Amino acid sequence: MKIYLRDHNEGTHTVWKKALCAAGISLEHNLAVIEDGYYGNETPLCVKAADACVFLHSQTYRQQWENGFKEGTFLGHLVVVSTQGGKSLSKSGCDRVHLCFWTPSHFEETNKGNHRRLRKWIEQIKSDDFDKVDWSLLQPAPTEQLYALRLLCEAWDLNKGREEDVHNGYTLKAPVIPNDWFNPFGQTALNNSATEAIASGMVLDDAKNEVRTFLSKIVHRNSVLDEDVQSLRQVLDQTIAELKT
Amino acid sequence: MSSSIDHTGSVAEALRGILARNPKVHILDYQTVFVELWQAGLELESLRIGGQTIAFQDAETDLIIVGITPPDQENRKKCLKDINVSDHLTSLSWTAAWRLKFPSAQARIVVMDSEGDHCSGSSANSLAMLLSARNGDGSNMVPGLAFLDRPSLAAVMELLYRPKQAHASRAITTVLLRNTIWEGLTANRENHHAISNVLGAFLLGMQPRDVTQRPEQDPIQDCLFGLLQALTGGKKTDPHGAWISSDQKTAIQGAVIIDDMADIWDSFLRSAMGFEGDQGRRLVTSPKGGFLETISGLPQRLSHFLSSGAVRLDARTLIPGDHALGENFVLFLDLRLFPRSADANPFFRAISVFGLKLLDSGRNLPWLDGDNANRKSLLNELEYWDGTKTSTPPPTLPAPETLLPRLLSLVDPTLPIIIFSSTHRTELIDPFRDYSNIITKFRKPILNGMTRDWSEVVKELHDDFVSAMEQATRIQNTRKLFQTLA
Repeated sequence: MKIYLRDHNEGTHTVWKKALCAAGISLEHNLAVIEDGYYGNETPLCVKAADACVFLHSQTYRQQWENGFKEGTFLGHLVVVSTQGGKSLSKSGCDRVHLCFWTPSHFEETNKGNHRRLRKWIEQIKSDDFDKVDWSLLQPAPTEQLYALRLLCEAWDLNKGREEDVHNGYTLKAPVIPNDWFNPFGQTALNNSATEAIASGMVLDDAKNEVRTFLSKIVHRNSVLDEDVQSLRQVLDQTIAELKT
Repeated sequence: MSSSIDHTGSVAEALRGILARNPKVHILDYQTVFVELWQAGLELESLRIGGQTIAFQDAETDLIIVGITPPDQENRKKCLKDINVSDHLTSLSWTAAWRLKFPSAQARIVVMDSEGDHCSGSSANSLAMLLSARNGDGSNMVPGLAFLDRPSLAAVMELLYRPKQAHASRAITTVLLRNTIWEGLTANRENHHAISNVLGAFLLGMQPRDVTQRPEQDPIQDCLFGLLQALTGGKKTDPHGAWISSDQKTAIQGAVIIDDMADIWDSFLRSAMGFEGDQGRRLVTSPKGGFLETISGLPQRLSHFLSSGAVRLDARTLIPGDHALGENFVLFLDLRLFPRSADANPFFRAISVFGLKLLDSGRNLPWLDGDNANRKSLLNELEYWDGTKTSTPPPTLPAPETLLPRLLSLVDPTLPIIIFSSTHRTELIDPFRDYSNIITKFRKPILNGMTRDWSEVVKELHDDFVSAMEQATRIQNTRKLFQTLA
């Protein structure tokens, strides 16, 4: 895969060049840091190949670049980077334009074995198997639903199986019926596809399987058992910990 | 086959179910209530949201805001699309702004990252750190505010168990919160589209505004107004209404803005000049997203104007389009029209070609006639940019950004031209000294520090604007006199 960097910072502000190099990413051109945008009618060389990946560090010209990809004029993929990280960048609306959560520090730290998802993505783009690149790795794993289930497990534990209990003046309601586990996801236990819909959002296969088993059991039994909750919580904790590395 | 669902909000929903029996504990999903929070949550001391009333003055009220980042705004104004405002409109920013707005409010607010450690952006990170900081006795450094970096019921309960602190915000925390937000907003001035470069427009937009006649608004713009109001104590009050008199409005008739940020500034200018409700007829800017094309074609349009033998520029020569503005208007002209030199250089070359034609045209050029030194100096400058005399650059070449205003001033000496720039640099203002229809009195405000009270800044800007418009009116009256004589 051919990797290019288009950076609005010229001269000494070569933060992204340094970070990409530290992560072992070889840039296609010698002038690693060049002007941020293209202007005029000439199509930049870096978007003429389908197996090219352009890192773009330019808020000013971002829209212009994205339009080239959305309209199909540009080949390859665009990775929009920001020194402050890209979680807060808006969605691109194009499957060949990818917003990068990771900052230069994240890239640099991959050579110390940190940031599993980013490391995996870097390995993929270094290989020649272009079609197998998982671009979603440029964002952290979606963990909100893992945490939502974990909160329910915590409530179960704090109340020790009781539906309601008062803790220092605050009443906690534990999830004791199947719907308590489905409703936070906008689902009901009666919906046949609800279990699969919730399980599918659990990122890693172990967690998906465990959630699938847990939800199926409580629907089948129409009640919740402590041993099932403990098993679920253990897998959720392991998954969250794994996603953090 | 698995179906996918949108899990956004599931943490808030789970927490809401668990804490449902506590009427004074409120759980909000930030992405869901984003606009309501920014529009109403900083205006009132209680907030009605999703069927529940959150009483901020009630010491027993606890509000847990789940999630950090604002929702995507697909239909943002073009000018705002280029600017990363998301980092400045997080739930952390809202919470800090709320504390600044209501320093004695008794409620406790907890911000919880719904995904765990996904907080990004320097401003958000700094605020997260500030809200997490504890005093020696374990109490929160910023009274009544707390941050949880991941969803955890144990951590929520630990916070709820803590006794409420006295909320008369300490001065130090107020300063810290304000400075943290302000630093985030103004840290980056290098990028042409950095938010710091449009702060002045947003702040001024709060001033001479008639809310009943506001043009199309972007919710994000309203949110930023809310943040900036909380920061500055800005009020949409004094001085309010149009900043020019009805006589001036009649004399000036209209305005043309040449500025790549015109989308942002036209709201302020429209209301300051009393043009609100005119639906764009009296204030002309380049079409949305078409600034570069408009400005790139200007040298050619000016050359055609010169060949036509016409005396006074009309608005369509400056900005083509189907608008009714004729020869009578004031021109607001920014100096920095191109974000980078690679785009600017071809323009300077093209405008110099026009300038050389102008010098050679035999037209009356009042600011040069009778002063051979000035004429020769301009000739050298134009030949340098044109590329015909590259070997002998003039020893003291004026900044190229000043070339377009001077040439417009020469080609139409009775057109009021207001330099609409934030620059205070002498080398960018001095070259206009001999050009009597160029007005340098009003400048876009530079906002890189909270050294003065905002109302003082507005008062000064108001006075400068009024002064600039008085000059413009005098020039415009002269223009009309010439029109009558012709």
